[in-house]
Amino acid sequence: MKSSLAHAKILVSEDDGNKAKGYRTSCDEELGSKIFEEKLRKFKKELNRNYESLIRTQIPYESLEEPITMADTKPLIASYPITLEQLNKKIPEVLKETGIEKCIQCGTCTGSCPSGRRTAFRTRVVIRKALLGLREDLLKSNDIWLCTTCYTCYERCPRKISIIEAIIALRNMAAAQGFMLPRHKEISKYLVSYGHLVPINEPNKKRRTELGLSEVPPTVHSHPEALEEVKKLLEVTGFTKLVG
Amino acid sequence: MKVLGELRFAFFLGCIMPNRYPGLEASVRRVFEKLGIELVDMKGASCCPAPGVVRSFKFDTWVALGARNLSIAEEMGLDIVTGCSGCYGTLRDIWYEHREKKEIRDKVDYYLSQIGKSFKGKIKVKHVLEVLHFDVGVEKLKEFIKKPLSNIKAAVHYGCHILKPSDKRPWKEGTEKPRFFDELVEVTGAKSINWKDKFMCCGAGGGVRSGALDVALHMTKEKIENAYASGADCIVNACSFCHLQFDTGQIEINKSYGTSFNMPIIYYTQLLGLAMGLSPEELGLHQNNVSVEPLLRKLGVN
Repeated sequence: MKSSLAHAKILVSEDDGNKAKGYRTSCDEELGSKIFEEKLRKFKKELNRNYESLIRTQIPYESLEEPITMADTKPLIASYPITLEQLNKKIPEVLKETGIEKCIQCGTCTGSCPSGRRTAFRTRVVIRKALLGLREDLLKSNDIWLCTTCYTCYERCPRKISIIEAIIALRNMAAAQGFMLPRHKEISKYLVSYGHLVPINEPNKKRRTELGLSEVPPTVHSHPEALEEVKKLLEVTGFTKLVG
Repeated sequence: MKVLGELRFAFFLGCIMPNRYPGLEASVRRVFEKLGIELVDMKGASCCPAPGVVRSFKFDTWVALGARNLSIAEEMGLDIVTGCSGCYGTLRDIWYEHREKKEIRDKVDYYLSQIGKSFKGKIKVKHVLEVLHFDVGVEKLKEFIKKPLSNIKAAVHYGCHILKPSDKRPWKEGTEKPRFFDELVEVTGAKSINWKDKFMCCGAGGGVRSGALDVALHMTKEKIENAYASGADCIVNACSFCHLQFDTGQIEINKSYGTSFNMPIIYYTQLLGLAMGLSPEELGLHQNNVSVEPLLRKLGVN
């Protein structure tokens, strides 16, 4: 992986443990020295090992292959839908179109984030980790699932980075590798069965009737043939298998 | 501007509006009927599908189902109107990307061909507020106000996806301090008050409500506290998911935090409907979880 010295500097010093105080100075002194080269080598090795171990230890590849190839049959290669080919790529390459490489780590995103206001989710950190290709760290963490997709960060980003698109792409990668929150799988099954993520129920049939509306809405709920179309699309795009 | 009687739209319901808050659906239908705008049902439409969850799990599924919904309206030859900002986000974004990106058009063509449908991008996607703001206009709306809600202080909650991403939205006022929703609220006679973090997310979106309910509720709690602090009589929203998060969420907040919030939550066409002389029952206001009685008392309705 292409790692600039600036990246290495911070991470190497983190590697050193709790030497946060004055780490810049000590690193600057070490720059170009043998000690630094050695640390950089170790860091790169560690990074590669993490990457390799992720590929090895995640859901076995064979089980990944099927839903993904099904979803991306034919020449349908685009930016964010994650193809098998893209899964093998490193995160900075997959997210290239979102413009994350333009990030100057100013923290406007983090400062604007209503979710980060009350949790440990730091948008800036997610972008940084994505740039460093820290795949396992990102895809396994809860952080990417704490974004409400409110787009405030996107609107305020001075570099016009498509932050939400980047988070969505990371979520797609995480889901493809089997990392989905249990409740998300649960609600997805409603979509597969009923064509609605939130299907009708008895109390609401009653409420509808009370209001003079049809007991069941004129959606897939009233049109079984339409539900079949929806099911077909869920099948063809690999959703049914993903959440099944 | 078109004469109101000539306006016809394909009415996209989504999930929460018809299946959890049919009162919102009734209020949109009744208000539009009074305005002389025809809403035609989209037979066989499905979940939009939700931008925060389905798009997060499988991008292609989001595109394919969204395009199918668009194709239903295109077959009807009508622009879509929806009252849910989540549905609006999905349908408007896919509509936009279909127009701008070849790879999205290719995907849409491929997937829809699997079910014998197609979408060519001949229709538009609008939000209920967009129709009221652009197609009807505040001046015209004034003519329909029968019972001005003059002593009501409303905390206007814009929500996120009606405004953002702004490059895919029709508003020209920016996202930091737009006014269109405030103007629509003030036409009813209510006063739109300033309140802290007015433009903050309700907390429900992005799969956070389903995936991390405590985080979602914490955000909602902050908003409700801010509304109280500003002296609001109610929170007015324009999205069925925000409405659910504020109304059902308020009960959940009271349970988990031991609070006793009872801030009335009003969907915009419910507010407008009251001012147009419709009854609270016709607008489904009695079906909210948090009672709107205090508000109605203040208005002298009932």
